[in-house]
Amino acid sequence: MNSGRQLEILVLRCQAGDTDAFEELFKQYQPRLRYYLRRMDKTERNIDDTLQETWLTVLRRISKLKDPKAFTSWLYRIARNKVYGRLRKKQQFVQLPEKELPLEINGDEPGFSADLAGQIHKALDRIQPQHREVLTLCFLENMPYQAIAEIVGCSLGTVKSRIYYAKQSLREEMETPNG
Amino acid sequence: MDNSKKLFEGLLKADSIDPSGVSEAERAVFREMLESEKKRMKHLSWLSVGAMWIFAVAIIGLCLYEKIFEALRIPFVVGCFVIMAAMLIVMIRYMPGHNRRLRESGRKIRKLYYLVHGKHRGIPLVGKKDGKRFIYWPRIIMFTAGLWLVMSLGGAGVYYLLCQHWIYSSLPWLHIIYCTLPCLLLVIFVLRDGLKTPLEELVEVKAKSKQSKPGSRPDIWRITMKSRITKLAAAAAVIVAAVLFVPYYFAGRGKIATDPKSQIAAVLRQHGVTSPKELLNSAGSSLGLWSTAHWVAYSDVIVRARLLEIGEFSKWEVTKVLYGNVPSKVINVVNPAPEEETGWIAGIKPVGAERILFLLGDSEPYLPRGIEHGSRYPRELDDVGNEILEVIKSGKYLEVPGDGNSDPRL
Repeated sequence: MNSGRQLEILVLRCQAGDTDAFEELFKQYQPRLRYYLRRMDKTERNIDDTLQETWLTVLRRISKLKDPKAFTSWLYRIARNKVYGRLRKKQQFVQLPEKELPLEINGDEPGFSADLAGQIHKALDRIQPQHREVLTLCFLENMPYQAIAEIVGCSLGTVKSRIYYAKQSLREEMETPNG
Repeated sequence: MDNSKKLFEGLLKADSIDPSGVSEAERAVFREMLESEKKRMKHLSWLSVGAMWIFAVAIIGLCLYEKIFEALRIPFVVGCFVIMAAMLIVMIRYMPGHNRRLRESGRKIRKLYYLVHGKHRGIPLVGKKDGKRFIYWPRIIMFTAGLWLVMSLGGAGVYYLLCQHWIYSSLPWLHIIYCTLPCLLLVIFVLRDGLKTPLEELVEVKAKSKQSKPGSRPDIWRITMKSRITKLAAAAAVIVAAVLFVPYYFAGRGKIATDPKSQIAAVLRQHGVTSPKELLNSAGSSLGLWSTAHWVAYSDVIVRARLLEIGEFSKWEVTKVLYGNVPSKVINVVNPAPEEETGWIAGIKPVGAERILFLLGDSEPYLPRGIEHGSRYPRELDDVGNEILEVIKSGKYLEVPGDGNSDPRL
């Protein structure tokens, strides 16, 4: 069974009130959502609160989701709205230090070292927020352009151009020696 | 693992996020949130609760007003059903959002069942064939007939429990309306829903490849049933036949008999005007119920029909009652009485059922089942009398020659 169908079943189970399905969905999306929110809010304040609010909204409104296939973009859209809402009234929140739990990166696994990941993060942090957002969704989440357009609330053409310029910006930032 | 996934996992790890899942603490928080949400969801909105309370209070008030707790009244029960049906119709009609949610929820559950089990739940009435919609007419007919039968038997059972007699015998038209209308409405709604469902969500019709032999004659049935109108007409014919047959079978099967004694027996059975009487000996102990006797009255003439327990007619009596005196003349059915002894039956005039019941009851009025002292006598008893008189008059051994107005015995 492909992942799309699995997700559809999972969402339909949630809509039918299956608690296990909710937990499975949470397990599957929580890390990715956390990563996305961290990229969205560079200050990384109240990420846990935003996450909790996002999941609360999901629990309350999942029964109203018409197309289960669109769950991922719907979830990211909710998270985006939450983080934007928080950023708008940022001054009302008191900054709390977040616990950093460093994880061991398996050195045997070929591909991406911690240094490279650090470089990418630094470069991502330096580019424009809207570019950072589309890059996170497109290359890291493997989302189609249409889904990204639904999440960020703009047209398909805008998404395409943003991704184009975002790639350019990221390349420049990566190539900068002090970057 | 492809590169993008590796990159993503690497980035997550570099960001101190475990890509494989969530920590136990996070999961515990989520579970707690889930539990509290489930409890919250169980609570109805204040609007629904308020409406339900108002309805409950109104029903209790009506029950008290109608003295439903003292004696179950059928018109009241029917009235309640009508009110509830009207409320449902109003809800469905004027709450489109609620209706839509219900329908979508049902559709999602059906879709989930299909995705998990690989087959459709329930009886699909509309499918797809070669990329086009296809209506399963045989299934629709069977579904309608089955539903009608279930509603008919279920409704009749409930009615019997409430009233202690079958609905077919007293209100066949109500029964037909009760069964047919919702049944047809439901089928129409299901069909409409199926016709509006996206094509990709419909069941694929398995083509029964019935290889037609070359040169064989085309199937007349297929040609005839190709037209939608013919199919509709056939479905309607089946439904109408079912609608007509069941009440006729239950209510009027006694009338199938043509001889007078069977007709009288059928009338007696149909109206349930029976009165088993207990016999006591001189010591006052019971000798058992005289259960084989069925009594029916009309005018100032009493017809006593004695039926054996197996329902066979043994003999019956026609009696002229005069001021409490009950001189009776027993007429053996097998060997009917001479015409001159029964000719006066044609001239009898109807009087109130109340008097007849009083006359029948010897010391106290005769009361059929379900009738209490002081309550109004049902008009149905007059109908019973009329029917029986018609039967008697139509009997060949009771035909009255001439005017027949006088009773030779009186």
